[in-house]
Amino acid sequence: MTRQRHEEQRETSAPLTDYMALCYGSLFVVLLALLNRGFGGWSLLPVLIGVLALSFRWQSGPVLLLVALAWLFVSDSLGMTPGSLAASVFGIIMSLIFGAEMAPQARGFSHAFPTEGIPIADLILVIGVFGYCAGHYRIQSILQHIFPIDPRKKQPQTEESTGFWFWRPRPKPIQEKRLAETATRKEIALLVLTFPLWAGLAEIGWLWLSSSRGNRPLNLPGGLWRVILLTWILGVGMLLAGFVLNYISSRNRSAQEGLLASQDILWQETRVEQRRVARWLAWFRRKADARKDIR
Amino acid sequence: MLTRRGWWFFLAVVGLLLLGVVVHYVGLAVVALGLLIWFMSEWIAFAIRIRFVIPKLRVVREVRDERGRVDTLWAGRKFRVHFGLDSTAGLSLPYLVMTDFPPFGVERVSGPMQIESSLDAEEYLEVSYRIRCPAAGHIRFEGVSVQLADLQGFFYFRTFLTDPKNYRILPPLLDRKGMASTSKQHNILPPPGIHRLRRPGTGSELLNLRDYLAGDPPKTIAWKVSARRDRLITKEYESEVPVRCTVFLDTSQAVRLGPAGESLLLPMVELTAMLIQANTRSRDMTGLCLFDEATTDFTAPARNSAHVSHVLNVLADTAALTPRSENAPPEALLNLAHAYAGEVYPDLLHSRNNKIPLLLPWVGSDGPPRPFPGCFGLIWRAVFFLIAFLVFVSQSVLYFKILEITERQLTEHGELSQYIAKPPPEFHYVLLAVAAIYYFRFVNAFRRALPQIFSIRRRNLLRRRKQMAALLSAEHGLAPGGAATLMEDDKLLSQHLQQYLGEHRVPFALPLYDDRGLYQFSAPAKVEVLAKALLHSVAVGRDNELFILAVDLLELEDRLEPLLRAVGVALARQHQVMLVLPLPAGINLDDLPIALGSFQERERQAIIGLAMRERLQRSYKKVAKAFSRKGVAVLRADSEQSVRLILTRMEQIRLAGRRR
Repeated sequence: MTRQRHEEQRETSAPLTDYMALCYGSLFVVLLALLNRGFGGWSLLPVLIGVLALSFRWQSGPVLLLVALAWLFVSDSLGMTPGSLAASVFGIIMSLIFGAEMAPQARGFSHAFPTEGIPIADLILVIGVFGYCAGHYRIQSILQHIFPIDPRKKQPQTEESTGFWFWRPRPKPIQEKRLAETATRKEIALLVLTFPLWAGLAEIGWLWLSSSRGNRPLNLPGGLWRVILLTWILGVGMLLAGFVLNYISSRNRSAQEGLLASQDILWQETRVEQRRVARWLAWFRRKADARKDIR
Repeated sequence: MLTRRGWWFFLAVVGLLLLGVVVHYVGLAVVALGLLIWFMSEWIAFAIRIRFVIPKLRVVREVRDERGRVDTLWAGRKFRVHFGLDSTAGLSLPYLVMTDFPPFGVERVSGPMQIESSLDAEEYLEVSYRIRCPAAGHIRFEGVSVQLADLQGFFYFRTFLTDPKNYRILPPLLDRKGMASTSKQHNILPPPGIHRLRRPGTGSELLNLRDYLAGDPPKTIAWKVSARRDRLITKEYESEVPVRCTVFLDTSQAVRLGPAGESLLLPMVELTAMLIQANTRSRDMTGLCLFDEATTDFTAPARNSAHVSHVLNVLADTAALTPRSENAPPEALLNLAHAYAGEVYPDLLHSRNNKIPLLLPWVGSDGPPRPFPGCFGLIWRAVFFLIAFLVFVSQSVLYFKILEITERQLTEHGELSQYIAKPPPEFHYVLLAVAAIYYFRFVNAFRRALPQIFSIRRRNLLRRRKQMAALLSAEHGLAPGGAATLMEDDKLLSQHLQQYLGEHRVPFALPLYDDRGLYQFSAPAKVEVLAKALLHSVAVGRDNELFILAVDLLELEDRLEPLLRAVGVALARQHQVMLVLPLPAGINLDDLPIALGSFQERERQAIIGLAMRERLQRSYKKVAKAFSRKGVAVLRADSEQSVRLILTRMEQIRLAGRRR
């Protein structure tokens, strides 16, 4: 039944092409959002990085895109272009290492106003970045590996390697890829349909977070208060989720696992006493065996 | 559960979020928040799927041949294994790879052993592959390994769905080469399965004439002879009894040794199986006696199909026997068993059920206490405790020094001393004594833990030992104190590890020689047991029978006396005896003895192998000579001719009465 389904899927879908199209489309959306925000020509920087990552199959593509976005926002908020910010950072590093003073980069005014919210542009940006990240990682699952690389599983060596051990070719670990036939258009459609949901949730979350005024009685800066709030929400949420999931795991234990866990608790509670008794009993058995051998 | 890819993405998103939130970059914060919400929801969805779907997955397995489902397999034949995954859960799995865990001792011929797919709610996945069973014995399918991941590769989970199924592999079916002729070659031959015994019976051939005795049936009266002699004479006919053959099969530890499918036991089992099938076709009766170093197990001779099935099952169980050694060191077995359990029972080694304490080296085992640790051990202990003693003495001196300074200071400041009560001098000595006790207990524990603390190999071994001790204790019903016992007792642990590996049909190697350099598997006691079994069979035998001794007697040529006496008794009672000797793989008796001095290979293993080969050849010749002197034919278990020779001997027995 499964094999039939796979054959049908192979005929009807070209998953890799679809995901590539999704990624390029998402990059276009990112470009539009950035242009809309007023980043001008530098809006092409994250898009270019995204295209390069797709073309050369960089595994760190989505992370690089996020870093490029951050760089763009930071440079604009400082009134600099990303290039001049890079030059400034380079100058600071050189001065720290060699003590050489470099001319400071000229600062202008912010064009994109990154500290101000533009809901529609932000929503579009979320959709674009999300689409690129999800699509890129799914392409990686098909082209690179979906399961973590197990160093114990190696590709068989075709010919016996000779020479000094350092120069010998090492067998490469096996990369367990996702079978391309298992990717369907249905899953891509589902992914695309969820874009507005995550974008909407993010916008609502940000609005709620930024509208909180709990910092005023404590006289805390707004940024710090939002970090504290976010940490508490995430921390408590993860704690509760972990507790519930652990409880479900405990309920799913088999009888053998339960016995083992109970025995382990007992052993941990009384291990010193048990060890002393067991040690001398083992000694006694060994002596008895030795006596038997002598006879 | 979180993969490296997932960690990188999570850290990048959190970093972006912090930047956006702290500096109030709205666009960045919204992007990061959206990605974080998506990531967390995927995480929770994956965790929920694992907890709700995995317990509701069921492994379905069937082994089939051309005609359909089978419960028993045959050696040398091919079968198709169908395995599948049935989900009764209401949730789906985005991506799943299911891999079958093939049993040890079978060869995969064709077909995939894994399937990659998504699993929808209440869906059934199935795949099949072909296997070949090379040798008789048992196989055990443990279950299937299941790997799960989300579509992005952020989360990963691996588990094993256990569904143990044992199958018996019966010895190979008789082929045409081993079959005896079922057609009569001459008219003088009795029908198959019949042996004429020169004792009065109900046969058709005349044996003797004697005087009539009251009670003799009238139809046996020889009227013509009676008339001639003028008294009643009765005709006596020969007995027509079935030909009986009893195989004495050696199942001692010595023959169980060897790699899977290459033990000495297997050729003997296959020979016995072929013999019983050929004899049954000729309507001759075959019995079986299994013996080892201590026990015997008789199966009375018979020739019906139920008997054949029973004997074949017994032979399959016999072929599956694994060697056991009481003196095997547990280290190698421990590593093997731990690796196997980690693959097949990952849940039982998970820290949720089987924790490894951080301070395990302090509470772990360094073996049972040894009153005489040896010369080096004594010196090491003496040096260690001497250093510890010197440290303690220096600290005691320091303590008294500080005490003296404190007292002097108090005396100088007289106003303080009236508020502080000065303890008596005995107090300090008692304090020191108590400190000394705890100090030396700590030092002793530290000394024992030292090897585990500084050696990674020992520490890993200790961890594995703890986990396997807990697992074995729970599995073999030793709980609650079994884990501690197995952690301390090497011998007991070794026995339980062997039992565990044997139950799961995992082949394992045992050291052939013990600490004193003695061969552990010679099993000389079996000669005595075999001699007794043979004498017992002779005592209960009703007519001339054939006894096949399938026994490994190599390197026991000096202990054959009881067996030779028993063989002598059997031969004296007109029985026939044949000896079948198994030979280790690679031993060719036709080769000339090899002179080690002229051999150029320097590899130690090769030289040892050659020396062993030469020794076995000499031993074989000695054993063969001892039995040939008694008139016993000596055959080789792995020879194709052996079955034919035994069947020929059966024919001779059948003919024997006629020729006399």
